[in-house]
Amino acid sequence: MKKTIIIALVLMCSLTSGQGVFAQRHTISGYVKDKASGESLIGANVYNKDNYKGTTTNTFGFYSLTLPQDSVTIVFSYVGYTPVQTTINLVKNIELNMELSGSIELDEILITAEEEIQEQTQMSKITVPIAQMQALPSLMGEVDILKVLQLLPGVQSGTEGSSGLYVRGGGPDQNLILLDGVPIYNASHLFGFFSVFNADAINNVDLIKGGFPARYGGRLSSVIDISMKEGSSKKFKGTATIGLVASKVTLEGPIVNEKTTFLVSARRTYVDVFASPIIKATSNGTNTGGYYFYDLNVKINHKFSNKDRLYISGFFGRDKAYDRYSDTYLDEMEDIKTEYKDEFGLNWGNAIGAIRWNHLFTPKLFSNVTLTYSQYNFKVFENYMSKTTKPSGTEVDSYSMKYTSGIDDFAAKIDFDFLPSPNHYIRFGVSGIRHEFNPGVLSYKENDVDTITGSFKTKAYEVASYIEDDFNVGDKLKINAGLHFSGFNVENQYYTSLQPRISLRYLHNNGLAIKASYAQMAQYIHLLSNSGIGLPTDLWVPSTKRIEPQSSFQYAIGVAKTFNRTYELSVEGYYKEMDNLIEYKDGASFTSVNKDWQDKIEIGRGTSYGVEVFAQKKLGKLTGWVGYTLSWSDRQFDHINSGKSFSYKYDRRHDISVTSIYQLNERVQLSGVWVYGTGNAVTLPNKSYLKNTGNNRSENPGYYGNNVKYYDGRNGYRMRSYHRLDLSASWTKIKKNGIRKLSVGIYNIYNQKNPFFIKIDTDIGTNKKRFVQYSLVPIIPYISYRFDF
Amino acid sequence: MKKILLFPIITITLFLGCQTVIDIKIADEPPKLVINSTLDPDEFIKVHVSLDQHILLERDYKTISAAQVEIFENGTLFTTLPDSTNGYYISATHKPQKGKTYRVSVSKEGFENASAKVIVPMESVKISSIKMDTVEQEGGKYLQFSIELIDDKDIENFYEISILREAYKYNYDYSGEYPVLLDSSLIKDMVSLESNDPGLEEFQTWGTNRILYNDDLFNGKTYNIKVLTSPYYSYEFSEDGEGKEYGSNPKYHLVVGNTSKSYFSYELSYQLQEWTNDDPFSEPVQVYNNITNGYGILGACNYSSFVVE
Repeated sequence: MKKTIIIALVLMCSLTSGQGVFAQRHTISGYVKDKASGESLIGANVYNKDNYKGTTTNTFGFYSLTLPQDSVTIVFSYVGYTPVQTTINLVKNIELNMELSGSIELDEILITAEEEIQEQTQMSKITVPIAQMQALPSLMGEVDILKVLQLLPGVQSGTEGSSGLYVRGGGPDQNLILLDGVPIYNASHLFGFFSVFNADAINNVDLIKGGFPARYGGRLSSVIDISMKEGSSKKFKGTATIGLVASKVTLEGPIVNEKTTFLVSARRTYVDVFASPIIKATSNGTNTGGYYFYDLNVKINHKFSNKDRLYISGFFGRDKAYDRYSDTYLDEMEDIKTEYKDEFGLNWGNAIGAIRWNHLFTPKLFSNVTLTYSQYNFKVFENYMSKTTKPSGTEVDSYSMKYTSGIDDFAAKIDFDFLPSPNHYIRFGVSGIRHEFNPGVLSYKENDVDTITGSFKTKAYEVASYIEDDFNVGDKLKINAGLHFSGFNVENQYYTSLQPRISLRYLHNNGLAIKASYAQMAQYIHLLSNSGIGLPTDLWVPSTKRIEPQSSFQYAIGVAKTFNRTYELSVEGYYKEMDNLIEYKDGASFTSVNKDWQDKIEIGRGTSYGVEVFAQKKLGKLTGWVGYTLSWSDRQFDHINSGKSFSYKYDRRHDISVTSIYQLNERVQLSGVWVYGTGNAVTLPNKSYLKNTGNNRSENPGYYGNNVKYYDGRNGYRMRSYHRLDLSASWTKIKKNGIRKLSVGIYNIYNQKNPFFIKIDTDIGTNKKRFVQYSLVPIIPYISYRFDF
Repeated sequence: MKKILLFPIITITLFLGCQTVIDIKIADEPPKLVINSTLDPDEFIKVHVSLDQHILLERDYKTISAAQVEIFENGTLFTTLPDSTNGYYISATHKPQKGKTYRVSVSKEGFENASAKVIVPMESVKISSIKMDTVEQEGGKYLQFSIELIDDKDIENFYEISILREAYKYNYDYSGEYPVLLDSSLIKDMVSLESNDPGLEEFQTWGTNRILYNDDLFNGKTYNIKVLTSPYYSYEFSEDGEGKEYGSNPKYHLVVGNTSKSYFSYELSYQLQEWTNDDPFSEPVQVYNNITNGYGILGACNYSSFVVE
């Protein structure tokens, strides 16, 4: 059987490659890097100039190209960099590392991009270069990777100002957000307003919305694969930025030349530094309080040899909010002294670590072993104490409360890239994750009496394996076919899922690529959220005996073309169905810790479909994109909305984003973003009627009001449409000891009052009820100063 | 706790964010009949009929007079209720019976006929013991009622617990310098309840005056439910106008009902609607409605009342 499979694979490889099985062939392999920094170039093209057959570099910058024995001209290219071509007399396997230089003119924008869109089998994937992200205007000057991704077609932003991502009608829990291969469970600071990713420490961001290759699994709606910088191997350098909200510093450089590099990047907000003394002064010294967040990225890489490289990376981010009260009351008449102390705090964050080891078994077989740890936890606490000292003695009254929730993951995986010929790129691997869920424990202590309530910690084990091949069938058809198998074990309940994935690309003579894909996905973890705004209290919970894993399938079809290597256009349509989605029951929340979370949820399904248009200009003084999405997204739960289907809260019929960056000259850069979206679906009452007072013999009907609000269906109304224009300008100056950049910008320049939520209140003047819309983010200017040295 | 967490966000939004009064086109649909009635085998049948109104209207709900209100018992016309005042239709002769099915049909010219059906629960609540204690909790004194229910395992039971306190209601004249007592009367006043019972949703654990249980947690078993209420204090004005607080030991009436599922669903969903009313991040709660072509509730409940002193 084993032999049959091997023979079949060899035959398939030889047939689809169009080459003779017995032709003498040799492999050119190596890494492609940026010449200035030594950073890996992910997705760079490496191809044979004679027939344009080639490959692309993987996430470590590695490539492998096996060609017949001959004199061959190999081209290395990456948009925004000067292509390099080299002619090799290929008579044996060759290791060839290549460094590319930025090709831009000083008054053009460095926009890098990987393989042109029509060349890729992969569809529904967008890579936004970090330089472009940093050039766009941002909220309070904080460059936010996730907010830039919200500007792409198919990605909705949720509520005003938040970093939540809703991809093709999916929920925020359905995004696999990977930082150096490690899942991040809560990707936001400050109740969702900023993401945890510090752009100064990031090398590359890929977003995949559909047509998922088999190597990815575990989430239904998207993969956001973020690679941290490795740290310059050329020279020690750094960046310091001072902004309105936060300041950050990044240092990187070689520890051992060309062998070991490091990168450290840290960011902290400092509103608390100013707010705390003000609070103290205004409360006569009885109160202090504040809020801050910080994050820290650390990475060390070591190259043992050309075959072995080790990467150690870590990320630590935390938000803290606190309020402390302390006061003393003295009753001189009675000689009684009472001291009060009260402390309340919120504290949440992620800690992740990854060790990755690249090993090259042969020039055609690349492997990567990864060991990771990912933790997210949330804590809210209160400690209260009052001490009364009387002549007769001392009385102490105390109360403390702590609520914790979180998730811990240990994971191990091994991935292989096997490149037997330019016509095949085979990937396979296995992985295992040990999850530990803590879905909410409340402990409180009152005068030395301890009470603990809540759900039990649950351990679960997730395994996955995959195989995929990206192969050519003739010159025009390219297929990525694969299988992803996963299993999950929780409380002696086993779930398994076999997920076929396929993507096809047919390249027409005029350079137009026609693409189609099908992907099945399974997700064994769920996020319980009843705010929709990404509160840190959102709970990660496992599938259980009662709550089955989420699953989905998605079809997509589209066309893509690049014009003059400058303009890129893609149009895609998709249809997605999701099953076993969970929602809190009406009015239930995470706080009812006296009930198991499984008793607080409803299980349902969702459907989404739409069309996305993405037009991008990648080169020149003016770059940017226009994205448009026309979409529908529905949910259906048996016990919500009388079982009838209803619009998903973030169902957005029209979504438009326009971004542009204009390099005025070598010093001045201007940029702008305009977004428009159909208003979110909300549930509003349309009638009210008299409440039944019962008949239980009371002569007082009770404390509640006497009317019932009637809602004509879930999410039946639309908030006003959302739109906003942001502008920014930056001035760069090369100084003797570095590069200085001053950026100013305005978020929401025409002060559009975009809806955050709608309430009914009563006008004091007329005493009439009315709908009032509350908006969150008005016009906000910002300024930041950056220095690269 | 959720409210603690949401508080800063809502506060920031309300105070720093912008408010805009907006027009939302809520379709001005023709009103429908609203029927409210709880059938009680110990009471004559009483039905209240009114109209719904647009959500932004503040006026009192219009009551319906001269409607035809028919009561059917197990499919046969049982009685037609005479029009009383203020939208009430009250029988002077007919009481519902346990275990029977009743249909209420209301017709009024200009409106769709509205109707609803309910089965009056067969059994009253079986109580094996009731105890009242004073307990200390969270630094305060409370009256604790321990009620032991015996649940019938063959029936899906829905319980309602409320406590009425006999208390004097004083009417004062506040027009002068000092309040002057005009008169007083003894009334049964429904008290606010709290409970730590694990079978309750958070919104039921405090500030409610009707605690509702189903028997999911104790089907066929004896179950002890503890509910708390604050002890009774009253104020009496002395001649110098200073308030004087004194405690008293009033009579309590523990009213335990075995309710229809419709009544239970209605009351529970209403309490939840009220609980989430000020939380813009909670999904609004639709109150249960069993009126065909209308709104409201036709419920049924077998009440048992126990005096606790």
